Amino acid sequence: MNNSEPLTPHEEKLTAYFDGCLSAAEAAAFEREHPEVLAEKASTARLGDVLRAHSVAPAMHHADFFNHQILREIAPAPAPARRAAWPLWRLAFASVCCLFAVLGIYQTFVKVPARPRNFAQVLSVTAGDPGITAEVIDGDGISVVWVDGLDYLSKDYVLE
Amino acid sequence: MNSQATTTSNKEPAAPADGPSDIELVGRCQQGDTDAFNELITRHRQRCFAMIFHMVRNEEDAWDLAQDGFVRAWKSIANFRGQSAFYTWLHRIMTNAALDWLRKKQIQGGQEFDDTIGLRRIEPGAVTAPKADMQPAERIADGEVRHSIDAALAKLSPEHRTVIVLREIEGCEYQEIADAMETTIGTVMSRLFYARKKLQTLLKDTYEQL
Repeated sequence: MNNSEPLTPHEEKLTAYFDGCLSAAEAAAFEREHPEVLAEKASTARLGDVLRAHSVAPAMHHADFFNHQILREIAPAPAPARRAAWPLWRLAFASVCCLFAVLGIYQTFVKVPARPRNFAQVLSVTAGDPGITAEVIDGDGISVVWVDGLDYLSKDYVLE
Repeated sequence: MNSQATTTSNKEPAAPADGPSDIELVGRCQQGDTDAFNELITRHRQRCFAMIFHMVRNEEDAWDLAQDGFVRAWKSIANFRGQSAFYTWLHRIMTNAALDWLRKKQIQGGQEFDDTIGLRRIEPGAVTAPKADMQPAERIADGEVRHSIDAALAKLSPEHRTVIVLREIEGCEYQEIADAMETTIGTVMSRLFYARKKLQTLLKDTYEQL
């Protein structure tokens, strides 16, 4: 059976008759025409009486809590607190800290020593002219003495 | 059986003599006043709960669905233009909340019966409350009839059950039912006709013994 199957004209009039939707004259004519509807009307009325008599709704329990829960659900959510912008001095301070941190890291891990490892300082140089310097360069199995500031070196000069 | 039982009509409950009308409260709600909505809930909660209870036949579900209905009402209260009474508008929302629930339950399959339904506390002064001097045997018989009614209603489709409840228990007119279910009067009459036929078959033994 369909939930809303169309009624025949008779069924529609019967329903209206059961529910008191016909005028007195219409109802009387309907009863004269279809005497069996009187019994059907009584049966329908009895069904209604039984349904009403045994359909008592209980009192709602926890009525205040009922309201409370609804109000909690519909209450507008509080707006999230607006985060204050960083003041300029704090921004500058943080920038300086970052700069130092980057320099520290660079000095420690990245920067290459200025002088190669195989260069050694000649610690004892004795010369009358302060413009003369000398260095000892250690290579693969050889050492080179690099003297700077001399005009020339005599062929009989011997390094001790 | 209490043959003096009366139906509740789908009319606007009177506002307290010293309080604002429903329409005034609705106006405040439309400005976001939740206190005004709290007052509207308090005025209409029992009636909405009862109507839904008749449809779903379960107290806890009726409680939840009534809450859901009020939340839906709040969300769409800006659309209420006052063309009908507030309760009529609210009643429509509640009916749809219950009807949606019944449809979902039907899809999920099966209905659960609550055997204690006839033993629950009855609202003092309820028009259909059993007599206090009811004998134990009468109470048992009363409970059995209720159980039979619950079982019979559960066998109806959600739409048939809704028209029966709205017409026979709530006392709504065809037009009110059509509005609440968003359908035509012809459809309401058709559903009512077939739902009654089915219930008469299912409950024949029950109410002919009364």
